[in-house]
Amino acid sequence: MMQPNNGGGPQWANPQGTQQQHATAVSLAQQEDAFFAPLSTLDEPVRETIMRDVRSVASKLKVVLLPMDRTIPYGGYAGVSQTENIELTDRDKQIIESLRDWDLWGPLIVCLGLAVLLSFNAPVGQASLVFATVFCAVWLGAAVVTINTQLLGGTISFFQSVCVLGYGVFPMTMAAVVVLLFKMLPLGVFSVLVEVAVLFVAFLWSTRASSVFIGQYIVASRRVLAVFPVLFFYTFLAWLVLLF
Amino acid sequence: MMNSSTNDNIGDDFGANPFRSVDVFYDESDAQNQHQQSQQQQQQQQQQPTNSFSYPMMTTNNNSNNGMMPSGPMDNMNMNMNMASPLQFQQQPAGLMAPSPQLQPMAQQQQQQQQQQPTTSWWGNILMCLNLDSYKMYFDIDADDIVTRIRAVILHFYKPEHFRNNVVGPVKTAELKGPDLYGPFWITMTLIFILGVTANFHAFIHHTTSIHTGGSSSSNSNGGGNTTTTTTPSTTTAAEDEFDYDINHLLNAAYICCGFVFVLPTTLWITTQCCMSMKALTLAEWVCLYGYSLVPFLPVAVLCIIPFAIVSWVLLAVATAVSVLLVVRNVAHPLLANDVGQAKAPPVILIILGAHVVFFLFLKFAFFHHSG
Repeated sequence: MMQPNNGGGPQWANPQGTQQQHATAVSLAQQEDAFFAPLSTLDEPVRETIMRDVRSVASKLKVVLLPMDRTIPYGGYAGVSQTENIELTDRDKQIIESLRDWDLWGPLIVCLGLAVLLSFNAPVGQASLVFATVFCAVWLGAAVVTINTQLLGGTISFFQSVCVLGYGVFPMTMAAVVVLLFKMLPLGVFSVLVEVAVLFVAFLWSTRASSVFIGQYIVASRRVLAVFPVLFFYTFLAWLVLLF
Repeated sequence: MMNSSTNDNIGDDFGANPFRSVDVFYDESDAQNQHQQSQQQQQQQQQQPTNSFSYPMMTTNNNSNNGMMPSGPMDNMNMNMNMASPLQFQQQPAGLMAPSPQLQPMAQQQQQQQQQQPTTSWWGNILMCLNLDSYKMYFDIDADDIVTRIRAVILHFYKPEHFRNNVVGPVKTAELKGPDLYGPFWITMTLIFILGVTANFHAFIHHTTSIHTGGSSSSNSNGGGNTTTTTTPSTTTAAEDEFDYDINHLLNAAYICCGFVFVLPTTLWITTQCCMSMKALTLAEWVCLYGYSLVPFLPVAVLCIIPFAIVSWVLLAVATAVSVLLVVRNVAHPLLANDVGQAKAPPVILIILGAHVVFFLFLKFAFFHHSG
């Protein structure tokens, strides 16, 4: 029976659970800093406050883009491993560790970027419809996948999962940029194949980080059931990028 | 008291679930205690009318919450949980705690119980519908079980009662996991997506073959013909008419499939349960059955890209036959067994058949049909 490892309350919306896990590894000096933090950050310049969030978002984006490790099975898809305890490489541990401090700024920026890019190329008069479709698809899809993971008994918290899935959309955004550039080249029918190839690579990239993260919060016998909706979500996004 | 310890386990994790007829986390070590309780409770049951068989939590709440209806939804749920735990075991018969052959009539009488007291229990039911934990019992399934069920749909669809009794199980027991909602939901989503993609691809092929003269150019425009190109580009080359993808295919697929898997079984359940008072299948069983009946349509939707009309007619007809056989073979016997005068069940079965035929025609004419 899954024991929720968060600090009580509804399991689906408890960000404190992650911070509680994190706090045990913090040193005493840092704990003192954290205790005095509300007082000390008032004196810092505004730029420093903003840059802290920017650096956090940038570090998570960089972590999501780490290339695949070919030495472990499934090409890095530790998320579908059927062993009870997944053997994580240092890279995977780095991913999980940095994604544990979730925030929603990164997914918002990524999602807005994708929606704006796709609405540039929309037919006349449908730009806002395309933007709305992509925006809703990303957030609703992330919510549905998260609820599914929790219903299957996963111990991940709601916003943490939404954060991971949102950061995973970043390779899709970059692929949308590449596809936009390719559409300007007069390649004819081959442009479709090139687009599909680029999106396929981006799909593998997106699902890798997400499946590693989500796979470790769920029992081995149900990992495939939890990872399939993640693959489905990114396939749907890739299809939207291809379509628009 | 042993009662309170097991009460806490159930009260904390799941509260009081109106859909639940069997304890999800049936603990083998508590079986003896429950057996002793059951003997005492069965004596009580014989004295009490059928009201005692199902959801005593509701009856106790009726008696005790009259003067103090809580304000917020969370308060109500907490109160239900707190009220349920000490009283649940006093009246709840052992049939609900241990697997027994009486489970099927339990589920039916439980729903009957809910209908007999709609005034104060439906608000609690609605709130529990909104709580996520109420649905966890329908997702308590492993990957192997899903594969087993899908395989049973394809291989054993024609066997009467096989899917319902031997694969899924009417309620959750030790061997069979009971109806699940993971399969129906994600099979429906997959089918919606595949229909949206293949309908556009079918239209694209029809568009390019109608523009080009002769068959040789159509093979060129298929772009290598490999199935990795699963969708259509938004523009073709400059010399041809521009092919516009139709996003309405995806939306129509969503409406049709969701209506078929969720709205239709609910309507049938309400009809048989309330209007005809045939308590044959629970709502979860109806939805589960209809959800898994979409499995034959998944490969057929992919194969309907082939541009010949006769191919899509035949393929869709075969898939519809498999699907309707699965549903009817599993539904007919419970309906006929619960029908009092043998007069109300056959129209329901005919309605099920008709709905499948309508679904088949919808699929054919909405997605894979082009005149001329």
